Amino acid sequence: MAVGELSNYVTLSAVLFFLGVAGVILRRNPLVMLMGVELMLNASNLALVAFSRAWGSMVGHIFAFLVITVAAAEAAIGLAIIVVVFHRSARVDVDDVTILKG
Amino acid sequence: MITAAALQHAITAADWEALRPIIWIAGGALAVLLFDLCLPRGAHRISSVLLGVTSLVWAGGFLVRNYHTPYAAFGGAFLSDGFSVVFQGAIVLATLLSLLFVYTFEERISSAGAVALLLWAASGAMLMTGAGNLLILFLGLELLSLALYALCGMASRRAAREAALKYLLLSSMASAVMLYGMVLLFGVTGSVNFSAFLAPPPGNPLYLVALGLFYVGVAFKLGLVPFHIWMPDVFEGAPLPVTAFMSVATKAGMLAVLARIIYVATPAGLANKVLLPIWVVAALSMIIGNLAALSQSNLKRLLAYSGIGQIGYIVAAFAGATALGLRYALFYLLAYLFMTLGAFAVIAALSDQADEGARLVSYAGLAHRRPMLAAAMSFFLIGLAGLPPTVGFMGKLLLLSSVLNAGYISLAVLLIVGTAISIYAYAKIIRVMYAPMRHEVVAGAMSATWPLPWIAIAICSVAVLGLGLYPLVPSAVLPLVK
Amino acid sequence: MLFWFLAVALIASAVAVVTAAKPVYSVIALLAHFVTLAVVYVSLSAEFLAVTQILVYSGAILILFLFVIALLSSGVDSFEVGPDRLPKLPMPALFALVITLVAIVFSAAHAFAHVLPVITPTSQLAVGSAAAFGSVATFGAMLFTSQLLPFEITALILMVAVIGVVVLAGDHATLTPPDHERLRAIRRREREAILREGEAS
Repeated sequence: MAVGELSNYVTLSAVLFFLGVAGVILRRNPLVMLMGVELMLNASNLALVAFSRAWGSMVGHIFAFLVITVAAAEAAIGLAIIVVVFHRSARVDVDDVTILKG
Repeated sequence: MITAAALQHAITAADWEALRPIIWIAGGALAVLLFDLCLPRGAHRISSVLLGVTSLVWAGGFLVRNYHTPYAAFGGAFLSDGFSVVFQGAIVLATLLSLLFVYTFEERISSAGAVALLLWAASGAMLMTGAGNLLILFLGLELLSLALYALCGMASRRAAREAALKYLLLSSMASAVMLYGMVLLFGVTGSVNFSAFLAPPPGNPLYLVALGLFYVGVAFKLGLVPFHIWMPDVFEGAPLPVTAFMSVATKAGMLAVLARIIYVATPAGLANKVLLPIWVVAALSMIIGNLAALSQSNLKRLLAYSGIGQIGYIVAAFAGATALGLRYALFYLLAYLFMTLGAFAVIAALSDQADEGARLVSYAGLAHRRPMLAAAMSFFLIGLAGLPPTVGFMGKLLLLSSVLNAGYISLAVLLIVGTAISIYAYAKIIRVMYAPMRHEVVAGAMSATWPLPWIAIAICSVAVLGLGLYPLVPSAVLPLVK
Repeated sequence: MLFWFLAVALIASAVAVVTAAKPVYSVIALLAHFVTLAVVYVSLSAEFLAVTQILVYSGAILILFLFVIALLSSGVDSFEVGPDRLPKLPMPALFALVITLVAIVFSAAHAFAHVLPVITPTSQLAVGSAAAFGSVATFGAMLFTSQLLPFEITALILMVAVIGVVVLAGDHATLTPPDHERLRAIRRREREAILREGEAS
């Protein structure tokens, strides 16, 4: 299978990472913000797999596997906190979080 | 590809020996949960605290043994050197003292769950201190962070849960940024080991980009100044034992990572470029953290801002990348540990479960109602301000000498300015406590509580005074290169 | 050619995740994103990771998201999305923005291209054999020998997730708001005390 240049993959992962950052910074819905974090983690994984292939070292695959595990745990805890905060109120919106204004 | 190289990593007993303190603590958490199932409801709190303290003390014993036998376990994945053992010791001490405040959790919170999560968070921080490659570093960091997200949300007050949500979203983003930096480091060097970063391909700008992203993550988790905004909110919202844990143990884990990157994995040619941002961030934290502490009316927020300044002092000692700086920074970390946790112990002694012991109003005229507590609080605040005869004075003197020794005169001046500002902030609280009181100030707090915080106060007072008179600076702390 | 097709699909789905009007649309877009990413993994000979990606991300994490969306929208009138800071851009402007972003990063990455390693051609990897690069056998051997410690630590991380969720969400009966009456009374008494202090001095 033809595999392109490494810089193409790095570019792609950087763009996806920025889109994830945009999701966290620009959106106010905690669910979408959490999905933005997942996008960022996946962008890291893409870069890991590409680098791993380029160096011919499978450590990157192990790293990506660990990131997937951590992402699952993080999603579980994050969603639990979102449920605990918002279960009683209809709206899911960080701007409603007014008691603690930095 | 099941090569001989893979099988070379045959795991021996010595590898597990290096990890034994962490295994004891993580296993202790399981024991806490098991006993919680078996014992009657009335015994839950005391059994959790006792088991937690036992496993921490036990782990401390193994740490003392490991201090003199540096070893690179699991093929260099976990480095049990003098450097990491001292940091691990600080984390164990901080966790132990934080456990003594567990009764300030609300009644409905499962204290076993809280203690177990605190112990796991501590083992995550300890893994970070000894991490020899990026995998262990990332996993230790996430173990610590995940446990903290859950711990911050463990209160029925809405403010606490909202703080937990904010912390979760911001901190997981910071973790992801740091992870991307790690990935680029791997991409540039082809290795995940810290030792490989000493010789990056020459003239590679991507290496600096990677280190930059990495440092952003570190600065966020340490709460250094451009990335500190989350700290006061989370410190105020989180339950008291969690705040106490976060103020020292979390910082110790991340400081260890920062120190290892600076001391082991910074190529000589790039040292100037790498150390400059650390200089700037340390200077900003010392000034802005202490300035913001001036106007706080909640002691937890005040300790958050003061913590920003204090961590700034420690990072300032790293900025020179001298061996002396590392030793004195470690000493100051111990000093900060006892002073801050002592102050938290006083807050714990004054808190009831509605967590009202942290508001400054409750301290008006404290000296007339609870003279011992007021005296203890003043003593710890004097220490944080860096005045003699406390360990704060001695530690700051040593830090100053190491900063001057590294040739950073302007940074030393900023350190003195930051200290001067902080004296005002702490003096304000002491004045409130000793102001003459004509009327009984009410507070739901001030109820009689367990003797546990008093134990913490006693330990911290003795340490703050004792280390101030006889500074025991750890000697064998240079990180092991593998 | 395959790469460019996948790249466009990945970027488009990521944009959809960020801009979707409802979280449930975001989840669908994220699903498309993850599946496409799995295809990219296969093309980079990371077969085991591709399978894990589908099973864990699409199978577990996204379902969890869907459950929470369902939980939070049941029992209330509608699942509102609050005011976002995301500006309402017309589609062409959004398109132009993404293209600009791609161009900037692409040129930056190509400036770095000479310092990056070259990807080993597939022909030089032992493809097809059980011990090939990226195969389950190699992955497993590595995970249980040289990378044993990280693997053991993941056990702790999953434990923290389980206990954390149980402790956070287990005790729903007591999810009551704080005792406002009592808090207000304490605050009032305090205010009065401070006022008295001020008068006296």
